[in-house]
Amino acid sequence: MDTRFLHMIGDNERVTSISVAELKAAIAAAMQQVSDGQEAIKIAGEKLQGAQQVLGAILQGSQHQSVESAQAALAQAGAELEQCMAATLAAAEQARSYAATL
Amino acid sequence: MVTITDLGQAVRTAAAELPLGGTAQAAARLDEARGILTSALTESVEPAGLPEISRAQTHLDRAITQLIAAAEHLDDYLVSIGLAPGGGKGQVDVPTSAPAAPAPDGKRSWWLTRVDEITQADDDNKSKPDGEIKHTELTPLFETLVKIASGGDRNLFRRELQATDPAVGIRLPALTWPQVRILATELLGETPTAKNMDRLRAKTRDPIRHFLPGLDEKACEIELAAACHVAQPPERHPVDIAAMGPVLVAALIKARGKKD
Repeated sequence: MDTRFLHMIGDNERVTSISVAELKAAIAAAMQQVSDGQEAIKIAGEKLQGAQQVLGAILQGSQHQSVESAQAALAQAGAELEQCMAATLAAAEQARSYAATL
Repeated sequence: MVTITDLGQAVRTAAAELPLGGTAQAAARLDEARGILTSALTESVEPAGLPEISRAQTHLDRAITQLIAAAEHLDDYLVSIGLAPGGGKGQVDVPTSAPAAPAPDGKRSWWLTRVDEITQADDDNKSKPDGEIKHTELTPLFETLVKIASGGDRNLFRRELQATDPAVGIRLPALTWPQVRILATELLGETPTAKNMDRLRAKTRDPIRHFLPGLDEKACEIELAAACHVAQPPERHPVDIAAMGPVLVAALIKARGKKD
């Protein structure tokens, strides 16, 4: 079956359609990008943890305002990366579910 | 015993390891994914992950902002203990036009003293601790200094440095070093290497001598090589790095113009 979906390209005057196969391929291509992004996020999270440990060791006990601010910013960055990763996992799951219905 | 120099180097190394490149790479991947899905799903009522990708991008943007903030806080710490900040921020998307907080009163002496030394200010031109601070934004400061360095008024160049908020001045390398690399590549017609650095040195030596006569010439050459990623950046006073950049940029622009 070659069900075709109405698909707008560019302005509203040009209307074309996209096949199920094309749509599935597009979703797969997008999810490959998401997967590559997840790998980069994972490595970034590991590097961030490494930097936090190193800084924690060499600046142990420092109550300097800039050090405390830096450590707080790094902790926040780590939390954002975790939430980012969770959102990409949810995106991949949604895309997979949709592709399965096509 | 850990010396303050060792401590500074360790902080600098840790700051340089912050995953700004990796997060930027992830952001590019998610952007690509969103683009593909947006294009394919124009007529679809199914979200197919698009809202979650947007959410992921928002978190990633925040993470990048926090990483840049952390790097800046670590630089502030290094400066506060009398060391040069890290040199890796040339590759970081620092919000260059963001106004920085003015330095607290009484914290400018380290900046002013070194400005006077490297510009060889005589008694009439020496800094005044209560002098006016004119420059509190990075981009206008950069443009002003490059413009002056394109001319020849070294007294004016010194006065503008003296009127610079140190908190802004130390961020100059974030703008100047990438420019130096780009201009050097354009001038040479190829990537700067140890073999072609002589051509760059020949174009920049006289302007550095003119505007910053108190700087060690050899040190300037090493700094130029470091800006071009040909040598490791040495330990250097932050004022030296801040003042050198606009002179190098102006000299390379002039040299490129003659080449054109």
